[in-house]
Amino acid sequence: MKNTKSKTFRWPKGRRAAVSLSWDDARPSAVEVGVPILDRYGIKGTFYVLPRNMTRQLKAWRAAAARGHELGNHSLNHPCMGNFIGWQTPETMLENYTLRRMEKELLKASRVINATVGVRPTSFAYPCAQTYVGRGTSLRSYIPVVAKHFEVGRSGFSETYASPERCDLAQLPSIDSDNKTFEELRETLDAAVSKGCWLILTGHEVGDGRVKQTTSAKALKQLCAYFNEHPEIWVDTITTVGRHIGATVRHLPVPARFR
Amino acid sequence: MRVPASNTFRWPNGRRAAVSLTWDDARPSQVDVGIPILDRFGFKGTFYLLPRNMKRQVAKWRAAAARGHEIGNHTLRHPCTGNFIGWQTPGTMLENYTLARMERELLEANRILGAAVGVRPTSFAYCCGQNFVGRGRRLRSYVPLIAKHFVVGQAGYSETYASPERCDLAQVPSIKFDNKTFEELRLTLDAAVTDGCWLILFGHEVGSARGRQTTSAGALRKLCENLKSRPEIWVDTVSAVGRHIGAAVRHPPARTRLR
Repeated sequence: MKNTKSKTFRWPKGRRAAVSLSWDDARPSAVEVGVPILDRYGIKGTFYVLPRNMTRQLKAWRAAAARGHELGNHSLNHPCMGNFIGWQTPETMLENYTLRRMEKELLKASRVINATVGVRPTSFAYPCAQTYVGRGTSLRSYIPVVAKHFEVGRSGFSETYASPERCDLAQLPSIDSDNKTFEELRETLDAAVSKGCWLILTGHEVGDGRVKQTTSAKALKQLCAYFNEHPEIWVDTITTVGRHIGATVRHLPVPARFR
Repeated sequence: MRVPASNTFRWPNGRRAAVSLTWDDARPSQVDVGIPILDRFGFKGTFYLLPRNMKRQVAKWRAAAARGHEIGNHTLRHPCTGNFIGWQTPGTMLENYTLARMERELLEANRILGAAVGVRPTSFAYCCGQNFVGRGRRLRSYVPLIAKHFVVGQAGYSETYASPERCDLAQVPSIKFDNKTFEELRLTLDAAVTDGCWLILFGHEVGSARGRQTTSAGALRKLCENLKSRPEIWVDTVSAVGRHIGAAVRHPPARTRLR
């Protein structure tokens, strides 16, 4: 079946695809190693900062934001499923959350970021790519809360990139940049570009790509150099690309035959 | 912080951990290659069948069910996010689903599988590991539907295994089986045993490890040999292990201060 909208959507300025580079948690190496690489190539990244990590390097993050990098919300306490037994506690695990507490804490994290860096986050990244609170028959998705308070929500560990015509801006797919070579990243990038899609990469640290949860600094440099030579690829922050899609694509109510 | 329940939960018959081996979609190589390997070692697997694929090998699936392998539900049409543009259509993408349609189709798949193989499924595997219908502010999780109709719901692409005390049986995590060596699987297995947890592996085809979405037949054989030599590990179907946890663990409502 053809997606009728694919004929109408256009990337701005004749570009063929979009890419956003993002990192989670406000790890020290993201601002110390990652941001300088992006700056050298004139590329803006998106950083989903945890308030408690960000406040340790406030000056560096403030300077990054002033140069145009996006600072997004990554929750207050990084709540994930309780199955992470060595890490999540009864207080932080999503099974013990309510929608009300989640909303309160998302707004508080945004307030802290705004008060310390001077930018109010417009995008959010789900910790551990998990999108629920509670359990079983009383489990609820908190994606509607993210849709209410942010322009864009970014998910993770996805098997594919975002289709501009079909994606839900409240839960965009993203693919890991950690522990990958430039060649591996390039393969995913080429597929996304050939389909006219939006590739969002997610990482944590930036440095030695053999270390757990680390985007290879070398691969990142090669990727940035590649972008500089390929103006047909729009590289920008998640909110900027998301805003363009949000202003262009309208989603009609679900047809009655699908209900 | 300690998990108070970890002192009270015990695996049956003095076992230290549990393992379930699962495959999705009813791919032909599962009955042709995978099940004969499991049978040789006397292990029961869990197979989440798509009705349209199952119908091509009904006799073999019925025989597998009769030998004790579990037949689970994997929906009627394998709906996933519309971002899979080359594969999902407006008629199958989750963004166009409603909870009512999802419930109807889950029950229809149960009826078809029950009639064809003689067992009504009690477990379910989320397609693409995704558990939502709709988009944005109107998006809803369908985990509560699974909690209502099944003993166990299995999520995928997880970063960790299930803690018996903390897991939500309506969305237990599972880890990729496909394209891994025995040594890689062994690392995950040993970590799960150390933590006293329930490791669920999920795969698609069974055969040459270089094939896409394929559990290596060689790695599966070595894993079965390893499990056979370690009687402290309980190897059983997802529903059998899930039932034991469901009967042993109670989840009181979250405390007021966490709401």
